Amino acid sequence: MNLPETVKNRARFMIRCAWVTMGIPFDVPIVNEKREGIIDVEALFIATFLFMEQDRMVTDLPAWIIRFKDIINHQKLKSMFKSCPEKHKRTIFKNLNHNPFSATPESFKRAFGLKTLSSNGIIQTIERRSSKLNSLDHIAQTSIMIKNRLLYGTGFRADLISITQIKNIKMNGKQLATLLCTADSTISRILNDLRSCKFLDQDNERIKLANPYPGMFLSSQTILNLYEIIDAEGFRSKELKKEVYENISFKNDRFCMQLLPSLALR
Amino acid sequence: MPTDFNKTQILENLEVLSEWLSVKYPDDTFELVIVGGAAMALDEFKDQTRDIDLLLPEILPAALKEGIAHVSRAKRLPPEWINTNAANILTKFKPTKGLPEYFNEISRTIDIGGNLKITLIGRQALIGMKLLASTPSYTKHTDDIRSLNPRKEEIKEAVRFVLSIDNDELRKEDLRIVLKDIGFDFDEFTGNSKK
Repeated sequence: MNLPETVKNRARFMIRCAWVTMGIPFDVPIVNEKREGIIDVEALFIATFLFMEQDRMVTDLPAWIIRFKDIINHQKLKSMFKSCPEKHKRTIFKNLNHNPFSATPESFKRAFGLKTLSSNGIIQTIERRSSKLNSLDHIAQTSIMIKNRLLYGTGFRADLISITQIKNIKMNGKQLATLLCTADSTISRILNDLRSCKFLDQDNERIKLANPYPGMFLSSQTILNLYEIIDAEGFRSKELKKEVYENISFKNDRFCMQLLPSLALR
Repeated sequence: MPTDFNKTQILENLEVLSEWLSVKYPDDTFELVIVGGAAMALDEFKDQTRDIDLLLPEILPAALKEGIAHVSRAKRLPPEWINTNAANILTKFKPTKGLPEYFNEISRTIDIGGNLKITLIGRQALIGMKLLASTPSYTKHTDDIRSLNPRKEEIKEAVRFVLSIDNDELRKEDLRIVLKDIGFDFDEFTGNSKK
């Protein structure tokens, strides 16, 4: 990865902040979704795996995955990894190939094609880390996507309902399907249901929306932007680099909006 | 936005494309078979060209399509600065017996950045394609044929190639005018003695 260390470190810092929202007790500030936007759990996984180092993340994240496996949308995770460009897929696979991840549930490992190699020592470390995680009650207060998964079940219906809590979302079915990494037909079916019960209006906006969220802090758009930013740093041509930064879309991605100044300042 | 590019600019733009491809698709290599004005400019038969016409690949793979679009935006080039229009014409009018053997001949290859191989089509195919594109009302291709300074046998084969694709009376009339313009007699090649 050609990104300068300052940028990688900034990305790692923001990723840790997002994991605090999900209940991992890192010593960094929490991402307040009400102020900074919603965090897509699976997009957070992919962003984490792109930048992961041999630090506490390597044991705390498997602990989180084991404890909260039922609120992970494995289908979405698989789609996100599948659509990843080959070179970034290699980075993710290399970073994931640490022993603790081999102790994660089969459903998680299948999404990335990981092997089972875990030893007793690793399992004990993960169990110790697991006891440090925040409770689901607490996480449901800080992460709207997790809260909705607890309410409506882990799936695209819950995630779509989370997205509709964004103020002036102004996205059609196809755009929502792209954002959630699923088929147009899946989103179209759920949108029809939600319109039928007057939960949404004809423009897919919530009919009675109290306390809206400002947008997405980290979504599948963040992942696409991260691939672009990482690749851009590999270009010698200033024109190619400029073209990348001119065309990055910050809609649904406050993460990269906050990351880019660290590139400008280096 | 520049409308025409010379040999140096063609090579510069292809280098940027090669760089984009090497970063995005580091494991892949690509080959373009170039025909038309760009092939002539690279072989220094003309100074400038408007675009790069490809004979192959007939259908651009997604990686190339994406790369062409990115380079177009980065270098402010027309979106179709590399296109498959020539390949499409051949696909549409493909002669029943297939393309003549000399369409496999190449003038030379240029290696760009280790991942992008540029092949320039052979002279006879180039003349044939230029004659196929020529019309009396648009002199660009006729001028290009003139620049290639073709021999009588080359024009004779080009006429045979064009007629194998389209032997409509209107096409023959066009060829008659175009050939006269570059100093050849259409009827001499077809054996007609129309006066």
